[in-house]
Amino acid sequence: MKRIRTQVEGLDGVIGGGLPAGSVTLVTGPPGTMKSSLCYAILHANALQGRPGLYVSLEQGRDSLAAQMASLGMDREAVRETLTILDLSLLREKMEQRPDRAWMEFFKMYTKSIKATFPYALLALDSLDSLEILGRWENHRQEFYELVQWLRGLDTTVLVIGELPRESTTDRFSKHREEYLADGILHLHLEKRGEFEVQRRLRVVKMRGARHETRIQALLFDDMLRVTPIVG
Amino acid sequence: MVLFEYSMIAIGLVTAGVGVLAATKRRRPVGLVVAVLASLLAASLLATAISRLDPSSGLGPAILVATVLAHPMLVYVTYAYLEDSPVKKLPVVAALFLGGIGVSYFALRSGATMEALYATFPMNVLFAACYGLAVAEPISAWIRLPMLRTQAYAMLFAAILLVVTGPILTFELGALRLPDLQGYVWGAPAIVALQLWAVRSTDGLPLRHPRTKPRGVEPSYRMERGTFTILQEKRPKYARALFASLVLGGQPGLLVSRNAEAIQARYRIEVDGGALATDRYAVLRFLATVREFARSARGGVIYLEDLPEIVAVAGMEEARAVLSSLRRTARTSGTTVIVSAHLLVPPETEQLRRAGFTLLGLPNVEDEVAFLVRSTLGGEEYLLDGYCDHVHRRREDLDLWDVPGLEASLAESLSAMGRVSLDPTVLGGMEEGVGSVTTALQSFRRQSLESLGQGDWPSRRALREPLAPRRVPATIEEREVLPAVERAFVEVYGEVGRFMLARELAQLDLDTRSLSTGEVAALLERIRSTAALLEEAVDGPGTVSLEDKADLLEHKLIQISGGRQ
Repeated sequence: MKRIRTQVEGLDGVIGGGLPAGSVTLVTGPPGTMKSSLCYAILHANALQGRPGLYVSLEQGRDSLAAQMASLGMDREAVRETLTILDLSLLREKMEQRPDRAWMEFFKMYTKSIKATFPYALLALDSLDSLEILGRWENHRQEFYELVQWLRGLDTTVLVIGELPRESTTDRFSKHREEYLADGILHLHLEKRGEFEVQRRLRVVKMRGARHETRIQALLFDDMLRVTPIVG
Repeated sequence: MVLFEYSMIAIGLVTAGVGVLAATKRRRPVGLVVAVLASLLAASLLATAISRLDPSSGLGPAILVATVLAHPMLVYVTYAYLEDSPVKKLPVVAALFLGGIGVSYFALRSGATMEALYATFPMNVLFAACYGLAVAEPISAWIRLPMLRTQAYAMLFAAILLVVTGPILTFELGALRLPDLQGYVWGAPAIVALQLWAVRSTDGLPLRHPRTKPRGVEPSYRMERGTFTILQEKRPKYARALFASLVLGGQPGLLVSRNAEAIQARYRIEVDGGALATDRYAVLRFLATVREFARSARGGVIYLEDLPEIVAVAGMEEARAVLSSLRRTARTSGTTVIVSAHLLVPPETEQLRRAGFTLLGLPNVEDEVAFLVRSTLGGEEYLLDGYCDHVHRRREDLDLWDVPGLEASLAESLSAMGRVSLDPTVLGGMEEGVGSVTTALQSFRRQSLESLGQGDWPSRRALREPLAPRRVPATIEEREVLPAVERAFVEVYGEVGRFMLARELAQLDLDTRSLSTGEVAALLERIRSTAALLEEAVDGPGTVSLEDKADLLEHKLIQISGGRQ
């Protein structure tokens, strides 16, 4: 099976060599676990290697996103030709009428249209929860199932960011049990260490078609994002 | 003779390994028996060999010593990292053995005795910890201490490992000068039995067997005892109503749902139940609860709403096994079992059907009620929403329990109209309409599950009737232009096109039911600004395709407007 290397130090080894090409992976976790940063870092690093990517943001504006990623050492200008940011939050702001359920159609129209002239190999959707709220999903699993089927038809490797409540347990990976439908799950959470310190952690819950590591890893950021085994 | 003993030890250990593998896979009971017997064989021969140990005879004794030294560590490894399966720990176990052999070889060659090695820190501390864990675990299972109960299988594995290597343990106790505890070894089978019991029966939902007093005002459904039913509907309204109906009929109930409390409050029933714990033992716990409930509450009713949770946590294969087990429980214990498949996606329901399960498809109450109101009285949006606002419930949550309230609400609306409307003809018509809708609602409410399951739904019956005539467009031009414009938008932008067109019409304050060619020209003027808005959202390559779309739409609209720009 062809794999897309994430280029994030330590992550490829943990997920069995890279993301299976054409797979849909859920990246879930509570706020502050660097879900967006991790996904953007994967797209950014691949874009630097010439592999095109599309980052779809439904809540954070692209200027704010670019500034945040620049603070993490990822320069937008360096990948302007290979990484496209689709800022649907801007559209939401400028539309006088609320499209409601048409948001799903907007998302599909954009991703398909852009693919026609810019054949991206990686797509990040930030976030599933926003799409769910904007699109007024009624039957979440059904809608997610249909979304996953549609994304698979795009013939691209997809990362879908899913928010979890802060108090969620480490064995809960999605709000509506969507995990059964996705090909892979990267679960991020915060672990308190001692009185004052909190560490970000990453667990590969599943990755279809890959011999992945099941141990919980540390997700660290010093001058770059990296995944390392937990020591001690 | 020594070679024979070593061969037997090797065979015993290999067989034990195979048994453990089998135990962690499909044939758990067989695997456990094989593992226990084989380990006992290997361990007793090992003990015999230890007693004849000659430190100067090379690698063989070193292997034996390593086995003894690694023993508490092995038990510890099985306890540590409980989230990993025992199979995944085998490489660690193997590494411990090989490392131990090396260390022991050199230790024995340098004149150290095995007793001295074993009584040294940290081996003695590890031993005490292992001994404590093996004893504490069955006790915790007995008193249902939640933290330890959740790891029943891993602990069973550790307990088996500890107790079947009893002869080694005997040596360890001797080395630590605790010979009085050696009798523990003979209690080993009891520990394993306790552990098996813990795996089988702990962690179920606590059962109190409350009873609900019958009220006899709600829709009443009956099901023969010992019936197993899977209901498929958009929302689990019938499933809940059926369960509540049986509980109100006097049957004790077990409700497994994330919404257990809300369901009990809604139907004013009191039953056992709660949400499934969503970890790898969810299925185990659920089945333990079912067993206990079926045993203690004869003729009870079980309602499983969290089937999608089981599918998500354990997969479709386990879900099928759970359903088979429920069907068996229903047949053998006379318990009625209701399962809701409302959140399963089509491939999942298809798999269930292929596995021989029958799914009873039922209508969505909200749609049917809305249809009845619309086809008999009209204005269902206003009437239903008015009722929902009044009772502070969402429209999608309407169920058969709402029908009496809805009838009262309609009658109240009619009476309010009577106070303001003076036209007796209008009032008479309204009265007749309310009468028709009340009859239709009552008839729908009384429909049996069997007839509903056969598809005898109001909306389906009505499909056979002729449709009401639609408004005919005023002019030929009107009829042709609007559909053509809509088609152009949809062809270019997909389903988004419908929204885009509606937005443009609203911006231009145009009629959404008809359009003239002159108005199409006005639409054309806005195409570029709309395209610019769409393109603004894209930062990077990829905007070209949106420009192409705008060109295409412009071209199509020019054609429709007959060249007017």
